[in-house]
Amino acid sequence: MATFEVLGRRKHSDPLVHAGQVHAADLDAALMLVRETHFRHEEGVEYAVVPSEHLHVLPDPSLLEHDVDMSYRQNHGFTPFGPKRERARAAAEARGRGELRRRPVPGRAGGAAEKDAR
Amino acid sequence: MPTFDDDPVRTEEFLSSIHDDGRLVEPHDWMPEEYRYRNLRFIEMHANSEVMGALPEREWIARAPTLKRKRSLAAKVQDEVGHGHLLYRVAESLGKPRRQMYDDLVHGRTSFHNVFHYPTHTWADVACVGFLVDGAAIVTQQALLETSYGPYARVMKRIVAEESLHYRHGEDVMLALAGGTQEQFEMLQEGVDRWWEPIMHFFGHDVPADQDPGMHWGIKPQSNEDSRQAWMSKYVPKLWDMGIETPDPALRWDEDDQRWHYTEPDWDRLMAIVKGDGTEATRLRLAARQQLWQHHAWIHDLITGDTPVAVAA
Amino acid sequence: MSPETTPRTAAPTGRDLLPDLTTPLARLVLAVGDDELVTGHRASHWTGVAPSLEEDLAFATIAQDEVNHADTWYGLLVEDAADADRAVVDEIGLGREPDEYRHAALCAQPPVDFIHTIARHWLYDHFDAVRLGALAGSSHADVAGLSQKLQREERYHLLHADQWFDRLVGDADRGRGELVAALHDQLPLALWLFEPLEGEAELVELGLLPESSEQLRERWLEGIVAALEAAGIAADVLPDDLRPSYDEPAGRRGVHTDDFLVDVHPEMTHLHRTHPGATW
Repeated sequence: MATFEVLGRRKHSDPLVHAGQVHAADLDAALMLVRETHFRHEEGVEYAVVPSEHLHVLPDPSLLEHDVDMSYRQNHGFTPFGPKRERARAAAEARGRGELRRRPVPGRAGGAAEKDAR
Repeated sequence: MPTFDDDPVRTEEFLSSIHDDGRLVEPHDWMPEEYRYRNLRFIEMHANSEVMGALPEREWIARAPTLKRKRSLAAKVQDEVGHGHLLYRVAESLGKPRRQMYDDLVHGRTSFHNVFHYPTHTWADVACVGFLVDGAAIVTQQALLETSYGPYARVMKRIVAEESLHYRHGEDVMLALAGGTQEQFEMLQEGVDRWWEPIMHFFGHDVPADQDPGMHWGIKPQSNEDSRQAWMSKYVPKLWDMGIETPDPALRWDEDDQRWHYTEPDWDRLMAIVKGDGTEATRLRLAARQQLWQHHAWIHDLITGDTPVAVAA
Repeated sequence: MSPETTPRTAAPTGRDLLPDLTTPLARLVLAVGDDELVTGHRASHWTGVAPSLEEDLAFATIAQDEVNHADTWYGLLVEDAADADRAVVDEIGLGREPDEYRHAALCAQPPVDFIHTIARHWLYDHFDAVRLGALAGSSHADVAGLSQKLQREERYHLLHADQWFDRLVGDADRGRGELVAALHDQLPLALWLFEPLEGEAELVELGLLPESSEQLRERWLEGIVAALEAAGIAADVLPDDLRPSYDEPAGRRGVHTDDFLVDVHPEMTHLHRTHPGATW
């Protein structure tokens, strides 16, 4: 007897995700049994099995922790855009380019400036 | 383009299942050879574009004006390599080994998107590529979420999520220039003037939906013109908001038509780049990549396991 | 009022932003931070062009980390509010004259090829581990704290470097020979990572730098010689003289090679320096 790791895909648009394990004599048995061990209630469109001895977990998961600021790679690493856009708009006016934002654009016949007027 | 001998009845059923039933095609499914061929070529070109797209931008990591931009630009280029990594795997599932695709790319046998043929001259190019060009890619990538090949659709979900970070990064770089010194503003305006036509070209010329093979085969669900219009609706107001002029004097939003009117780009110029010799920047970049590949292929094989590694003494 | 006629505020720009670079803390921070910055700068060359896609992704993070670490080191010299901090940190990193940098020449070496870069990183990352290990016991709380944090970060760098070392050593066809050549080339220069810092005696006395450069070198040599001997390549790689006298001033005393003067410094600092006071 051996254990197998089970990977399943719930909807076609989902990636293959770890769903659990089964005990089975061999690959054929695992493939047959998993349908009922892991997919009898929940929908699934696909599954795969791999012998557990072939699943190698990273020995030191703390490697995934970062001790310095990595926010430059994340959405929240940016300071708010409102003030930056304001600064650019003010600079545009000062440069005599304020007319551009008064041109018609989708949803705003009076241009982006219309939003300010409201 | 090779000829295909696909069973017309099965093909018709296949197309119907894609378009009418919204079914996703998986690697082990029966598929017309033409579908396989077109998808592979499309996805391979997409992967190639990510990898070649890294080149114009990476030149600026070394020259970035702040330490934070040095890191964030590097992270963005890294993500592009990551997208290439994901996409080559998808293309591989259609039957062509990754190593072969990479070899074909560096030797100029396969193509990549026109926008990545152009040189970057100033930091403003980082803004333009990062915001406007990436913006164009985001528009088409959003559409590709509905593509019919399963592995491609799933990878696009992940890519689109990562692109939201790039979008913010691009806008951030852009706004800093637009709101900065007069020199920075002029640098940005000059950049936009140069990138305008390549971006118009990026979407391809207007092909009616029923004549577009990409749409017929369920690869890309949005027409070229719709993509271009979507990009203009999103990005032109942002440029004007910052006081940046668009170089096409005919560009305007028509409230009655509900579409943008613009000067038709020079398509011959695009054809010359795509079919012909490419640009000088392309020749240099491909030559550099070729040299590196020749020099480093053995290292590639060592770390990927493509050839056996000698046992340590 | 247009932006360029707006009266300049009292906020300093350019060199006026630099803190005192002669304090003991600054002398230590610049040596460590500049090593990291210049190493990260060279390493980021490979972003987008590394030998495999997976390796490209891994090494790109390593390069970013080096720059990030430099940034954090420079931050120890700054005390004000957030925005002002960034301007000062950037000025320290990208605004100094070439002879104000304190990195070792090894860090500024051109990429040459990927094996040379890997060899250099193996030598450097083991040096950094030894240095951080010592600084974790610094008398300066910020230095000790940051070193401990960075030691944890550097585990991935060491894992990566050691794995490449083993893989190349084990590749009789080609890897072993190329690694040996690259290590042989760079070891003499690696010994100058241990050129004493300016006024090092004072730094050691203050406990800021718990061990002298010489002591660090001995610990580093212990580790890498053992690894080289275990790999059976020590004889091919080690130079005869492992203990130079450091009479001739080099990187730690602001004397740099053309790699830095002609190549790295202009490339890295030009854009920042030609627009003083600009935000990006």
